[in-house]
Amino acid sequence: MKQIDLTSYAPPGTNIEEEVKRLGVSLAGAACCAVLIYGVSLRASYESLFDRIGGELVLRSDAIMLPFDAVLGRGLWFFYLVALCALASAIPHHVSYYTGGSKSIYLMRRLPQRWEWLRRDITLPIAEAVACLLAAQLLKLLFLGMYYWITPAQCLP
Amino acid sequence: MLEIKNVCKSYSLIQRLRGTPALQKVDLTVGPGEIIGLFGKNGAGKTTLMKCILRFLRYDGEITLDGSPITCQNIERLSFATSEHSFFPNLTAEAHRQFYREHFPRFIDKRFTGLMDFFELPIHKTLRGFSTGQKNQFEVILALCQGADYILMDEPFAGNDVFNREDFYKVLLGILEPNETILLSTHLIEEVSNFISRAVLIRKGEIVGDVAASDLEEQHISLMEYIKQTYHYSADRVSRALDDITGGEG
Repeated sequence: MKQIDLTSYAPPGTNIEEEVKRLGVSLAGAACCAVLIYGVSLRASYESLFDRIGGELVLRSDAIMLPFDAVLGRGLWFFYLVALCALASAIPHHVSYYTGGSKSIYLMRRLPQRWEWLRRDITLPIAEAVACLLAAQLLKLLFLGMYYWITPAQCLP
Repeated sequence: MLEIKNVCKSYSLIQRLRGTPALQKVDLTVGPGEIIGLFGKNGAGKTTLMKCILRFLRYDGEITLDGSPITCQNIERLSFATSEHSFFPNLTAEAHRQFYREHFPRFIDKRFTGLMDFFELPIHKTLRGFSTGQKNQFEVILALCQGADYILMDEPFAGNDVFNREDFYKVLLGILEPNETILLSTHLIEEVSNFISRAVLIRKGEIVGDVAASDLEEQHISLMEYIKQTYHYSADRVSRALDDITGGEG
């Protein structure tokens, strides 16, 4: 598989590995939070389908599972937060990169390629935000699968 | 031909209202092959003028290159070396070469290699690890190797020792092509007076002097004398100041 050279999409000299690592850690953190929140919510919703009679769980005849969106709740909001932070912090970070240590902004503004400066400033933050949103959707699909797998067919809304 | 016509620049409304703009009605024509020394006190407007030429600042007036406004289409014909440094600290010299090759098609690779060897600058070390003098040298090397027709240098030698500077002047004169023009802003008047072809003096945002080196030579006036005359420099200002400070004692 051909490796994508990310260095041409970031300010020259940016530590790409560190940015990717930071994104990975943020995504992992968001995923852990989402799994925890959804797990607790799903378990509570599942248990509400049953009555405890004589120490045993008995499915109620009128039990209907909460809709998936209600069970999911705000579990994926951490991904949206990470996406927002990627845009809100990475873009200013990239912009300020050109004035720290030297004034490479003078070089970027002299480039014949008009959009080079903008391209290097916003590409990675936007890609990070998109990655967050994609990860959120993938996890949502997984959660949906778990929802249908765990819920008795007769209890589906 | 780089033509600067009636260029005015104010950084603030207050400056404009007070009538003390950073640049006022600057007219200057820079032809190919010239080596122009741009002289003036701190705050006179030298850097502002260069930044207007390079489109870093908005200005009133007109600046054209061979009759055309300076845009992305022709900006590569101008290069810039500044004491603030415009390189990427986290990149090595070699990485800068790759960057320049990619973005400036007329980059002069042979000149780059030659100058790096001459000044014994490390090619695989990040610029962050260079000394101040090395950074200055590298900054100027990049400006000279870009392949530009007009090379603007804003006090590029601040922090370099005198031997370093002398070496550089000699190399500069040796490598320049006939079509390459230098616009050099510096306070080192006596050092550069031997090789500039023209001196432009700027004071409080205005061009107050513009003379060819050959004219000064014919008149047997040194550049320093010309500058002092133009600035109406008072030779006894130091003694008068000392008298004021010490009350005429000693």
